[in-house]
Amino acid sequence: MSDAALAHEAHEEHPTSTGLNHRKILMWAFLGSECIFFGSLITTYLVYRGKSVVGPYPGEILNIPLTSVSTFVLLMSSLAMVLSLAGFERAAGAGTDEERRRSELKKGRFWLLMTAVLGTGFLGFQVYEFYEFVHHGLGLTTNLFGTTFYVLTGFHGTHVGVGVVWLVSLLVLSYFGKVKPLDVELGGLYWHFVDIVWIIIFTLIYLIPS
Amino acid sequence: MATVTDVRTQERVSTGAAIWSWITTIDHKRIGVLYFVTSLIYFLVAGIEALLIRLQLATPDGEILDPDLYNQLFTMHGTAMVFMVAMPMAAAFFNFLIPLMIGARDVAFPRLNAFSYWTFLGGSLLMHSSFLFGQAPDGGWFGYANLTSKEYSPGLSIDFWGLGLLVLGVASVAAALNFIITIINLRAPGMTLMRMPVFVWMTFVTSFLIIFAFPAITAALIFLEFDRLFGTNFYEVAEGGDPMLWQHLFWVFGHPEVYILVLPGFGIASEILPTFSRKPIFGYSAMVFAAVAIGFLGFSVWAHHMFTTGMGTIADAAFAGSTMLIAIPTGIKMFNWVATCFGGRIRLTTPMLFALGFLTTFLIGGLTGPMLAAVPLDLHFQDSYFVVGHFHYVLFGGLILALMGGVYYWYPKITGRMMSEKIGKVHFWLMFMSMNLTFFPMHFVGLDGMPRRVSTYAADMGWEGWNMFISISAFGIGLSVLVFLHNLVVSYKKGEPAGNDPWDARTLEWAIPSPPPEHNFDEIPQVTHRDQVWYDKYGEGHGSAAELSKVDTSVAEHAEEDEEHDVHMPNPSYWPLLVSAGLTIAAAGLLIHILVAIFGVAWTIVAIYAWSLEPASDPPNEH
Amino acid sequence: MRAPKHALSWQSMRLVFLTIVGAITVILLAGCGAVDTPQTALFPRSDNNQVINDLFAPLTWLAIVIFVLVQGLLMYSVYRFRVSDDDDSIPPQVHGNTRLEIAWTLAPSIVVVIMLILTYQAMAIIEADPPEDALRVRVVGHQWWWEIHYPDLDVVTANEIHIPIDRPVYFELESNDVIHSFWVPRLMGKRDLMPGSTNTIWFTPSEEGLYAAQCAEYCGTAHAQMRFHVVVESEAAFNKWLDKQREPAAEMTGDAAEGASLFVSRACVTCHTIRGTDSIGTIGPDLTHVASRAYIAGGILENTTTDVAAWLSDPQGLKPGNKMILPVELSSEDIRLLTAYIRALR
Repeated sequence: MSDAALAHEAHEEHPTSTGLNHRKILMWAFLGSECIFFGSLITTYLVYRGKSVVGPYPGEILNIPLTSVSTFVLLMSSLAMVLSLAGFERAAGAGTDEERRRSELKKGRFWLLMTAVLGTGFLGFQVYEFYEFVHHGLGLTTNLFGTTFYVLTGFHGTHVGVGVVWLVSLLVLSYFGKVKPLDVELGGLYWHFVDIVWIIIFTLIYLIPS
Repeated sequence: MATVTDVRTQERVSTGAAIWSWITTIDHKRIGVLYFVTSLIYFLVAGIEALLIRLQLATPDGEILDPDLYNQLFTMHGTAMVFMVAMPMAAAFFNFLIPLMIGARDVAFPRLNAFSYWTFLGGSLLMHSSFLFGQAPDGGWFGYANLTSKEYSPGLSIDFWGLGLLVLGVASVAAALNFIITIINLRAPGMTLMRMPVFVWMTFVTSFLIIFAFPAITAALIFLEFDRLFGTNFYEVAEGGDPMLWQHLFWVFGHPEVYILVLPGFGIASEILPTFSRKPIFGYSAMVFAAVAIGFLGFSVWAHHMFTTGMGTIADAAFAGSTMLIAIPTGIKMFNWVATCFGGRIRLTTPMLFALGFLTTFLIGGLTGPMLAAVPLDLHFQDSYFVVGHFHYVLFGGLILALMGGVYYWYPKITGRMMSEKIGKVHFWLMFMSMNLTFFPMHFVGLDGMPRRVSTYAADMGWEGWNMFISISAFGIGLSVLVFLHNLVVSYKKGEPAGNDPWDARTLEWAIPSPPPEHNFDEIPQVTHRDQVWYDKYGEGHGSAAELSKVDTSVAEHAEEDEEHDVHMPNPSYWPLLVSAGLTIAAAGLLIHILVAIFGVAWTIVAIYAWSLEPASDPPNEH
Repeated sequence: MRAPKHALSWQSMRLVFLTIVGAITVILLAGCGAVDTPQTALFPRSDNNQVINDLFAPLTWLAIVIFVLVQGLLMYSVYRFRVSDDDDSIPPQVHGNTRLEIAWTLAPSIVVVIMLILTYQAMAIIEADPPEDALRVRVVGHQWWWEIHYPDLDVVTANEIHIPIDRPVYFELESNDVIHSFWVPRLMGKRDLMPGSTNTIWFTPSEEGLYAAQCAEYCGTAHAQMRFHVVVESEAAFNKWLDKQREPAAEMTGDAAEGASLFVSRACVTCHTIRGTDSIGTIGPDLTHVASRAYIAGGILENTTTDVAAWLSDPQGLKPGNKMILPVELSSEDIRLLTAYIRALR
């Protein structure tokens, strides 16, 4: 379910029981559910670590320096996301100061674009990594390592991809004046979540030797 | 302004327009009705499957069904009863009642709500379409790897099952998210968490269980389908895969699922018992915290389904302990229900009878539970008919009886007419007696060594007497369901008009007309007490009604119809249906051809964009 | 608006109540006087199964006592506080009672502790390591039959396990395909046969006899027909059986010899092993001494000339889905000769 689809669902004009926005709670609850999903995928990887009956094995092909770079790229995209939200929020709070509103909105859009670009960069690294692995004889069906590795990182990559599409959609919609800071904030929540999941994956799969 | 046709005037509009209004509806009450009717149809389908199973088992060496068909029937009976009857029927109640009970005009995300329903419909139709191809799922509702692998289950049967369940999972999680936000955020002023009706609390806990339990089975099913469609190795023993992975993931979902199924039953009973005892629920806080405790504990007991798999003594002991702990909060609830009745003014109406029947049968199911948790006993009970008896007491007794009571209780609110008490009592006694006579002897054949899921048994096993008895009793249940359907239909046309509050009840939904207007409340109620409607009628309510004046609700009813209220209701929308259709096509595509799947995904994406760009209400809420 | 009047009077309601209570009691009594059926779990014939049975009794009685107390309280409340439909009086609005609620939190807690102590005591016995001198039996599950090995005694057989009385027996359980479950209800609780790993279970049989058993984990089409038998016999009889099983197949004469050559020409050899002959297939059960077993076809047919012939003429009809798919239909003469051969494989 894309949460962008819910953009107009909320009755924002009505006060809510908690004072919190519907969509924001929805996003948090949804991410809670996602935690269990990724938890299941990661646990499966860990349970099957060292259980492959044929190679290639993780130690032989995982490229830690390269993945460190891609991890850094994804981390920076989270920073860009923060800056983008700040821009949109300042623009919304600019009041009658039209010039300030425009310049902040511009910053917001720039950093939104940067987030999407960095996210795409991360995906590029992932595609390259997959390509290299296949080249070294590790396919989806080669062994348990290939199976668990590709499915875990593949689902993470899909989440990044959905995030990129979401961010670009926000960027386009912002030119039609349809994007409120809350919309950016929700995209940001999702983005940071996906980023954190990657930190866990990077630590457990790449950094901790099997 | 609202454009959906008002329920009371719909007979005047053309059939086409009426159908269109149901397709595009985002009114929680209508979606609730859709859920109810759909799940009732599946109840009949899965019930007929059960009767066919009982026909086959009525005699030893039965020859009515061949083993393959038998295996399909018990698989689909279990899968449908859990995912297409119990859950959506509970969802029907959630949908209709939650906004009414908390004083809201709709759920937090009305279109997401419609999406949940249509996705449920899509997933369930996808799975049932397998019958048309003679490829109905036959791996059991639990679908244990590696029997479900391509090697041991060639063909598409397991794929229909896995993909159907994935789609149903999306529907369940979306609906659960919606109810969580609705309950957190749309409570009427003054409706604090601890003033909410117990039913709302049970919905709240159930919804959390759904969003945290379903991802585990989603992952397990994704692994299964990857194994089957793309040849991965998750459950491939030859490649080092372990079938236990499936069991762990499935039961991490599967045990919370049991509470997902019974907590709504708890909630319904907790509304009916106070109303017909004329007393508030006994120990409200304890009831709430017990449910929350059950929810938490429910995630720590999954491996008690796996005592026979040889997990080791330590794990067995730990899971036996955590499982038995659940007896404590459950016991608290049981005693509080009994105490609610004690000292009340008990009116034995049909809903009350069902609630009492629920207490009785759930008590039996609840008492065999800790016996199953005792590992040495479970080594015999596991996968025997003893377990079948146990969980039918829990699910038929704990859920179906409660749901039936709920139907009798809220039918007047939903339709504006009373159900026949006379037929209702026949229904209750027939169903209650038959279910006990059906499911109790199952414990005995289980102890006599009859395993579950056997399509046939030998004549010299000494099981034929009980099996014949069980089969005959099962048809009694079937008959009681017919009585119920008869009552539903007859009362819809000929039932006595209900008025706002036919039962002299306690919660907010009884303060408004029956059926409720589209916007539910003309004015959002102000809540100052638990059981607000009771308080409004009787104050603190000591002494007899004669001393206290009842609020004349009929006056309010007329006043409300005269007045035009300016309530903004969201517009109907067909995009939720189209997104659901896209998802279903994508899932079906994996069975047919990858291009169809890609088409389905593209359709879904387009529909999501259209949905998110569609204004939710007139005038467009631009800011 | 009031609810409609009751159709049934109080008297008739009570009658119905009594009927249902009576019916449940009758069922309960029927259950308590449990009958001794071939596969019952209630008449244990081994030490460990006796431990389980000794746990079953107290836990069942505990459950019955709790049921009677709680249900009695509920029935009493309903009976004592029922009113007619037009009674408008309002009882005191009691919201709770802390002391009572603490009491009924403690009560189930105590019951749980008792149940757990009893459970752990029983587990300590049945999940302990088997004694050193235990007889080792390896059971391999197949769709839908049981392969039996005595690894230390050099014996291979199928679907019928012989064990001596009063000697601990230790089962190593494995699966060749999907999950099965090993359950001899009179001798012990069940244990699953997991593909890819070995499970264990042990007990000491305490009474001679032929015990019926069957697979208890759903394993596909013919799950219901995956049966087997356990023969508990005297040490002497067991040793005699062992000696016989170790021998190669007997020399054949007459019809049986003709059947033996048909066994080869009709492709039976591709699936079955008969030691001492050219048959070395491993897809189906070892038939070297098949005639010594009480049952055939995964425990579903008696080992008589009639039943063997019936099996050979229509294996798929008698056990749909099983892996014995005859490449050609056998003529009645073929069946007669093959039956003679199989019945001679003592």
